This record gives sequence, C-alpha cells and structure tokens, in this order.
Amino acid sequence: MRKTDGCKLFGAYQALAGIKDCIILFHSVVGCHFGTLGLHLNHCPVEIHQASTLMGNKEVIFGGAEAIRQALETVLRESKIRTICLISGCISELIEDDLDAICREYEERLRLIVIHAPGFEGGITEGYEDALLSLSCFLEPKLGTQKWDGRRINVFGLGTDDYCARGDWKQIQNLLGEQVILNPCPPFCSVEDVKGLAQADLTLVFGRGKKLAEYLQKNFGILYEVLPYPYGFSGMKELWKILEQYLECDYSGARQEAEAALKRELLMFYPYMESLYYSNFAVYAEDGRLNGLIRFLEEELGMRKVLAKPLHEPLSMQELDASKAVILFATSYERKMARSRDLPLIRVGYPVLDRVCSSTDTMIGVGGTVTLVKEIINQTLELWSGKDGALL
Amino acid sequence: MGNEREIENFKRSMYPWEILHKFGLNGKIGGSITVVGEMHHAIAVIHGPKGCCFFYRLSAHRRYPYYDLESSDMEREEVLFGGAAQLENRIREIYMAEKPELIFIIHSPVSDVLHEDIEGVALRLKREGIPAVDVKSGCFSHREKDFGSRRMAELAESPAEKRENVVVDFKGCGLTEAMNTLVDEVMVSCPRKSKTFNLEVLLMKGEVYQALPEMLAFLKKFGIQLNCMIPNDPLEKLREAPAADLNIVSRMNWANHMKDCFGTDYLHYRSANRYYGWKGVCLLYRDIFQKMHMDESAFAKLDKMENEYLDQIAEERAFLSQCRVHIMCRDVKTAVQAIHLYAGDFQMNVGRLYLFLTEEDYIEQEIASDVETKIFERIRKTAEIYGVQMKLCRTLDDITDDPDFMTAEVLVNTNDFRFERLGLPVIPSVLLDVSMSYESFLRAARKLVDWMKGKRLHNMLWLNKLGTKEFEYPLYQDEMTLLSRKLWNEMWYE
Repeated sequence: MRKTDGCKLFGAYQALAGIKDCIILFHSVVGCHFGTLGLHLNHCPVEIHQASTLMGNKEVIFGGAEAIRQALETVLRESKIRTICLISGCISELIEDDLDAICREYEERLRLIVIHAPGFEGGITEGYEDALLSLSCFLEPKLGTQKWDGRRINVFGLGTDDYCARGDWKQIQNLLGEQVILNPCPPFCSVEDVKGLAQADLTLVFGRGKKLAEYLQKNFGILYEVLPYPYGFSGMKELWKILEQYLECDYSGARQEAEAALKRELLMFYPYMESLYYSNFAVYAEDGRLNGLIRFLEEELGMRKVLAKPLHEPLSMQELDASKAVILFATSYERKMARSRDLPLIRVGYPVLDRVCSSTDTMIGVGGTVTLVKEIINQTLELWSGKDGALL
Repeated sequence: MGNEREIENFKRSMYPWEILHKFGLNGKIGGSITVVGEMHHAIAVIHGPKGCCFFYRLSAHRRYPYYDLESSDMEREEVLFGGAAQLENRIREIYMAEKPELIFIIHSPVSDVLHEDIEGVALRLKREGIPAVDVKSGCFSHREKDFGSRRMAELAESPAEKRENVVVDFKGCGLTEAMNTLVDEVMVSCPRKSKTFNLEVLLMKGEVYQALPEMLAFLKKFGIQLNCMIPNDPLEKLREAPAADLNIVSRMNWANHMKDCFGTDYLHYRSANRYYGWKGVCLLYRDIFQKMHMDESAFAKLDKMENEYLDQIAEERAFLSQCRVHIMCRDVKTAVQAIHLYAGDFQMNVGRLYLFLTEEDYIEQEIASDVETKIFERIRKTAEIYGVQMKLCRTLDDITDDPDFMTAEVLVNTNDFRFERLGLPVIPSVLLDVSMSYESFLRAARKLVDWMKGKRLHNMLWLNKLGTKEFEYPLYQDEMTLLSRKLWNEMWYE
C-alpha cells in the first residue's frame, strides 16, 4: 500500500519553479535538487531554473551558511538575476541554519524569499500553499488602490510540472475570452507579474493556493472561489458561471459554441463512448483534480466512480481489485498496478514521467475534453489482448 | 536473436539523462535502489520523510520506476522522538502484505543526521522472522566530490602505451552499500565450483542487451559457466555466489569486500582504460582465462577464434581503411580509446583528432592544471602511434581554420549533431558499442560501414534550429538555465 504524495519541498518547487527571472536555490542535499529536476525534465527541459547548496558532511557539522553564501555570490557575479527563492529542506531545518541572518546579510543586493519546506512537515499541497503565500512579500497595499483595465482574475492551483500544465494555462486564457483578463500567476509568470496579483477582481483556486487567495482577500479585498479543476464541459460551465456571477460577464455565446464544438468532435468517437456508459472508474489524484475529474466522468460520460482517493492517502492493489474498476486515472507511479491488471491508465496530475507534453497540449476546454476522451479510448484500445478463450 | 535488443537500446536512449547530469547528481539512495530494483522478491524501505520515496521511485537510470519502493514516512514526531518504532511497524505491515524474501532498509539523510538505530531495527525484526537488512551508510547523502579529480589524476599517470586498470576507491556509492549488504547478509561460504564466475550487470549501457548473452555463450565453449548474476538472480542463487571462482564486476568496491569475506577474486571489466575496442575484448577474455588458470590450449583456441571473427569482417575493414575521417572528441577520458578504436581496430584513415574542450569542459571533466599537460601528452603519444595529428581546440574556429579540416569525409566519434554546421557529415560514436563480446565489434564495424555509406548533411535538421547554446552542451540559451548550470559547476566542482 503506497502513497504517491511528495513532500513539502516538492510542493514548494511546483509553485515556484516556473517563475521567470527568479532562481530556486535548494538549501538541501543533492537528492532534492536532482529529484525535482528529474521530474521537471519531462515537461520543460528548456527552463532549468534551479540549483542547490549541496549540503554534505561539512554543512551538517559546521552549518550551511558558507555554502549559501558561495551560491549567492555566484549569482551576483555571473548574472543579473536578483530574486532567489531559497527553499530549505529537511537537513537545513534539522540543523537550524539561520536563513534569516543570511537574508539580512544580502538584503541590499538580492531579494531572497525563504521557504521552509522540510519533507517531514507536510506534503506537496502544504508546500505549494506555503510557497505561494511567500510571494505575498511582493504585494504592496497601495497596489490595491490603483485602477486597472478591464476585469482581471488570478488563477491558482497549477503546478509547474503538472501534466499539460502550460497548455491548460493557455486554455484557461482562451476560456476567459476577451471579457476577462487572466493575470499572469505563479508558476507561469515573472517576479514583476506577482505584484499584479493585487490588481484583480477575483481569484479562482483550483484545489490549492487558498492561503494566498485568503491573503489577497484580507489585504486587498479580492474575493476568491475554490473550484474543482475544470475538466470537461461542466468545468467550463462552472468557470463561466462564476465569472458571470462575480464579474457580470456573459458567456452564453461561448457556452453555445463550446457545446456545439464538443458535439461535433465527440461524434467521431460515439460508438466507443457507448462502452464508457456505466463502466467503473477509479481515480487517484491530487485533491484539486479529483472532484473535477469525477464530475466530468460521471456527468458527461456516464461512467461510475467506484474508487476515488487523494494522493496523500495510500492506494492498495486490494482496494483497486475490490472496487472492480476497469479504468484507472492516476499518475505514472500507478502504472505497475494498472499493468498488472491490464487496466487502461489515464495519466493525470503529477508526476507524469512517462509522457511528454508540448506547451499546447491540454486536458481542459474543448480541445482538452476531446483529448481526454480520445486518451480514454486509445489507451483502452491499446490493451486489446486477443485472449479470447484463453481467459477461460 | 532478432532485433529485440536494438529496439530495447533505442527505447532506453529516449531519456534526457545527459542533460540531467549537466545540472546535478543523484543521491546515493539511487544507487541502492538500482540494486534492489533488479532483485527478485525484495523490497526497499527508505527510512526518511515521504519525499525521498516519492522521488527515488523514479529510478531514472533504469528507465523504469521502482514502483515497490516504500517509506517509513518520518514526520515531525519521528524527527523529535525517533522513528525506529514507526519504521519497525511499517516493515511488519509490508511483510504481512507482501512476504518479500528480503527487505532492505535504506538510510536517508534525515535518518543519518538523527543517527537512527536502523541496525537495531533490522536485528529485532530478524528475530521475529522478518528478513530485514540494514544497508549501512558509509557516507552522508552522496559520493565524495573529489572522485572525478582523483580519477583524472590516476589516468594522467597511466602510460599511454599500456592499458592499465585505473583504480580509484571512493565512498558514498549507494550501489556499493547495497551490494555490500548482500555480501554480508545473504551470501554464505560454500564449496568452490571450478571454472565458474558471477557477473554483476548493473548500470550497463547499450552493450549489455546484445553482448552479454554472447559473452556467456562464448565462455561456455571453454567450459566456463555462469554461477549467478548479481543481484538479478533469485536469493537462493545469490547465497551461493561465493562458490564462483571469479566475480566479473562493474563496481570494484563491493567486489573487494566480497574478496575480503570469501576470498573470491574479481575482474573489474569497466575499467575505462583497459577493456575497450577490439583489443579490449581480446584482453578481457585473456584476463578471464588467466584468472581461471586456463591452460595453453584454451589461449591457442582463443587466438584462432579471434582470427576467425576478424575474417568475418575483412570486407568491412577493407572498406573502412579507405575512409578518411577526423575524430572529434570532447572527453579527455575517452580520447585515447577513440584513437585506438578508429585508427587501430577499424583501421580507418584518420587525419586529425580534434580535442574540443571549452572552459566548461575543463571544469566538468576536472582537468586541473597539474594534470593537464600529462593528460594531453598521453593522448598525443597515442595519436602518434597511428600517424594521427592531435589538435587541441578551444573554439570552433580552431577546427575550421585547420587547412586539413575539409580533407576528411566525415567527423566520427561524436553524437553531437551540431558539428554538421562545420560542413562535414557526422557519424555517431560506436565506442561504447564494442564491449564484452567479439560479436559486438563485428556489429559496430558493420554499423560504421552502413553509416559511412549513407553519410550526409541534414539541411533541415530541427535539432540544429532550436537555439541551443553554441557548442557547450546543448542547453537552451535561457539566462536562468545557464546560471543554473554555472551554479552546479560552482557548488559541485568548487
């Protein structure tokens, strides 16, 4: 029985790694750096914005301050980057390196944001929440009083290395159309953009990022809504409904167009979609994605949820067998489970390490919905085994 | 045998392994996972927070996650009050559910700093009949940083005309730690079986899938039998590993340990300075025969068979001898090998060896000023044996300004497609393709002929249009990516 939950450090990384002109410096052992990097390369090998102080024997015994200084001096010497997210892992937290003192030493020359993310203090969601909240230091109260053009929203919840995250982000922008502007938000923004989070009319939280959303509400009066990840037409409709409710938009046209487009495209698959009706599915995903997926699969495809678990809870083979699921929505780490039962595995969330995706691949919106249905069908067809009578 | 092994090699090549190692190095837990991941009915449990398990399950170099990795899931309470009890309970649960034959308990940096008594946990569990073993931690977190520079220093001292084993000991290899655990906890003394060997087959690249069965079949012809594959064979076979006359290993540290415990001699086949190219394969079998105390007739038979193998590719070698090539080399550790292979074994008409080293290469390959001269002298002397001129290049102009550059048909020994921009077709390296079996040499020769006959420049190659950094390692030219690389070099190579 195993969990697929990472630790706080991975969550912090997921929140911050995509931010341009800001480097992540792990104050931790070599494995944390290599691990996050290894899971990152599948999705974005061209943006590697991280390094490590590579804590070893010497740092454990004498403290890690010198290693941090060495790294910071390198940044100052070799680049114009001046914003660094210093993510402190298990070892530095155990030996209690005084990171605040280092920050004070360098505060004239660098913008250092310290995130305490030891793995023994929480999972990916906790790390993501704390890391995102740490960016609030960029927000200035006066920004909230300044006018901005149009209706603007923030969207939190995507992770840098979530499968199809970049494409999903673009899709969200498409879904908003011209009526609402999507603020560049972590992880797909710059340091400068983070300031702009305070200039929004609404924040949407897809499962995580609630702490920063609450901060924005408390300090800038920006309301927020927590939504399931917007899979399927129901996800799109819910998104539009919220925008209409809060921002007086009108997405009736977009709704009609999307429905028409989906009818047109899904028609291509309908004989196969018939077999999805009343078929059992299991889903093992992050909290934010879980409900969105369930809603889409149940309401739009007529499938039956027989098992749903968040990643921070373990999933066993026995549970999966007992559920009688015939298809599994999970991460790449569940591949062995799926293969052992010849179950189609539809990869969602993080980590997905045996698939690559481009910046336009998406799982939401019209295109993403079609892709998701296609993926369900193709993965199932791939597993046609021709066993026939041999099964008996 | 069909094309399965080429297909497997191709699938395995599809992983951004090289770029990963331009920015980082794995913790030693990865090495231990490599060992356990190859075993039958064994499970690894990391005693640490859940993040270590989350990542190390990836087991990137295996190209296939190690799904069965478990964690003791240390949280704040375990950090404050100790995690031994939680670890024990977790292992009991695992054992009840899965009944593995062996449970490796792997230390994490956290459990090492807290000095958790994992040995005590293993002992208590064993008393209950649960086969748990402590993978003793020899070093904190990762391998010693100076391993690379020490290896370079040893190589610099190795005479150019000899193929001496370069021996460098180091701590912090998780693979060694796990293998030592097998030696200590699994293997038992047993009567020797004459003319048998064990083979350790971890972390081999392309050749293992093709050359390994050939090697086993070849040795059988001389009555030399495989005793067991370590650690891949079932536990009952691993237990009797000390029955073998010889260990043939990729990592010598654990083999040393096994020699200390059971007297089993070993041959370190991955010594980069000895077993490469055709002559390297010949040496490998001669060394094995010597270790096995084979008689003269076996050596005579070996000579004869080697000539027969060479006869099979007489045509190919004749063709290759007419090919005028330049060798492109970006790694000082393999320059000598490349010269021997292309100029010696394949008998190609080699004009130049371009040793192209940028500033980053000097850092990454740990070419310190005190070894630089010796290293280059070694390469130059080897080149002279075949009438090849070595040219040390720091920029591309150093290559293209050479009036003899365009006298060759191709550049060989490089997988870097970007060199096509210089105006010569590129032929990928076959250096690593030749290993462990004579057939691997024949295949490499035939592949080389095939590529030479089809040599071409690719005018529309997308790889060449993607904006990667000019002749440093292909990195995207993003300021932050380049800074990350600098930081890695600064912090690791210091």
